Amino acid sequence: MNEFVVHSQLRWWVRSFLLVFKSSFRSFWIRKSFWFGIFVFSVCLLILFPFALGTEFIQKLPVQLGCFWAIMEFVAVVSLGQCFYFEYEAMMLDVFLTSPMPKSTLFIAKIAFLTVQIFSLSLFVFLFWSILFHVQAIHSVTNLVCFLLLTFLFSVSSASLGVVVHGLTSRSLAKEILHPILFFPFQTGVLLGVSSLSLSCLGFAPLSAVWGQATWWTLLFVYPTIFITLAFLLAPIFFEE
Amino acid sequence: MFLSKSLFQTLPKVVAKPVRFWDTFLLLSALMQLFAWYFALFLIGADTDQGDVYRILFVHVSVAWCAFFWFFASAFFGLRVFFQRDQQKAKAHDFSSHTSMEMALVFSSLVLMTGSFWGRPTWGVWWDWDPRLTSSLVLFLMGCGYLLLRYFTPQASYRIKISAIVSIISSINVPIVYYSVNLWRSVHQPQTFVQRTHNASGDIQLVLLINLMATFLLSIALYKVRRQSISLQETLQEFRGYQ
Repeated sequence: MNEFVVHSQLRWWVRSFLLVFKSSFRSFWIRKSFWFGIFVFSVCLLILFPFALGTEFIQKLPVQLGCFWAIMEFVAVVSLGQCFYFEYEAMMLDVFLTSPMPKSTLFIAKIAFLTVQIFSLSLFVFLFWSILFHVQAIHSVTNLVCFLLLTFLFSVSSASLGVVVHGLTSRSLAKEILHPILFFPFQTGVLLGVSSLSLSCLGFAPLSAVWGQATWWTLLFVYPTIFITLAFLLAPIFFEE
Repeated sequence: MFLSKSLFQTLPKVVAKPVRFWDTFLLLSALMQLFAWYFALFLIGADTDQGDVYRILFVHVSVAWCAFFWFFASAFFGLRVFFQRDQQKAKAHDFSSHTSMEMALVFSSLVLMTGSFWGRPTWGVWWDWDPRLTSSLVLFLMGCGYLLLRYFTPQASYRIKISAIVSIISSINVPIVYYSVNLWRSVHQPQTFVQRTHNASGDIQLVLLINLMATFLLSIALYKVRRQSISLQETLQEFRGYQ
């Protein structure tokens, strides 16, 4: 009997998750221009950096990588700023909150959706970045796979942290200011991890020479796990009346 | 802070007694701090390498330890908010967590300032992107985020919970700041009170301990005085119907 209850609850949770995930995609698909807008914004930044730093200086690998991760940080912040925007606008959030679906599905599905969104954007940013910045080190397949894995971990970490921060600031009067204020300090560990690992992936000896690569990888896997768990546990508090 | 004698007489004994006690405690701990600074400035000799500049470290190390302590205290009270079923007691823990975070922020800013004052003559720069400095700045920003979040969240029941969450998450950064000098390549010197490093001689360690104790007692006195004022302020706002 108990096993049956657990099984049906799990099935209910997965169904709710899929419903929120699908609705996020649909509402997003109607406003594709938003995705394209962030992409154009990141391309503008890609052009801006060589102008600001000088074309000679951007030939250096650490500078190239620094520019990429700085742009990715902006991409993540802009994407996360509109976290539940479409649901609010279409009044879907009210429907979800009044329905008996578990509240945690809202957050977990949003994390999954935002991960896909940030990662899909990062693929295009990566393509333009490697062309515009003449990145030579990325041409090997191993380097490419390692780099894409890092980009994916960055996307998951940013999405999970961003959704938790969004939950924290959702009832604040100045959430537009508070979101980046809370997001950037907590994001520092991830940013430091991906930049150090991408440098060592591409044959440069950064800080990870002292603190082993394994520790950075652990940090990048632990970070989203902590924040996804937090989102799961804290969802009832964030959505309470 | 220090109430006049006539005002004291109008207060009920249950309120006046702790106020008077902590005011006296604050005065005594401030005096002790002055004595500790006297030891650091005049009684102990100059460092062979750094000269007199190193004396700022008696303040810097003490305020750094106090900042760590108050970050942990804020997280501790934050945890108690979640485990407390009684709303009034949860509110009291929230006030304590809030006050602790304010203390942590004051001491964190002092750490950054005194470190900067020491760094200029020693390293030649006011600021360096060193792991210890950067992680300390991140910790300070987390504290700022906590206070801003509190300020901009009008709903009291929700504010109590999210403040507790942020204080708990922020405290995770404290061990990172402490071990940053070991984990990364750093220009900052390793921990002072670690046996194998032998960073300070016996007399320096003794004066440092006196300073640490004095600053810690002063911080407790400041905490209690501020805690009383926050409690009064929140009670007054509740009576006025703001929450």
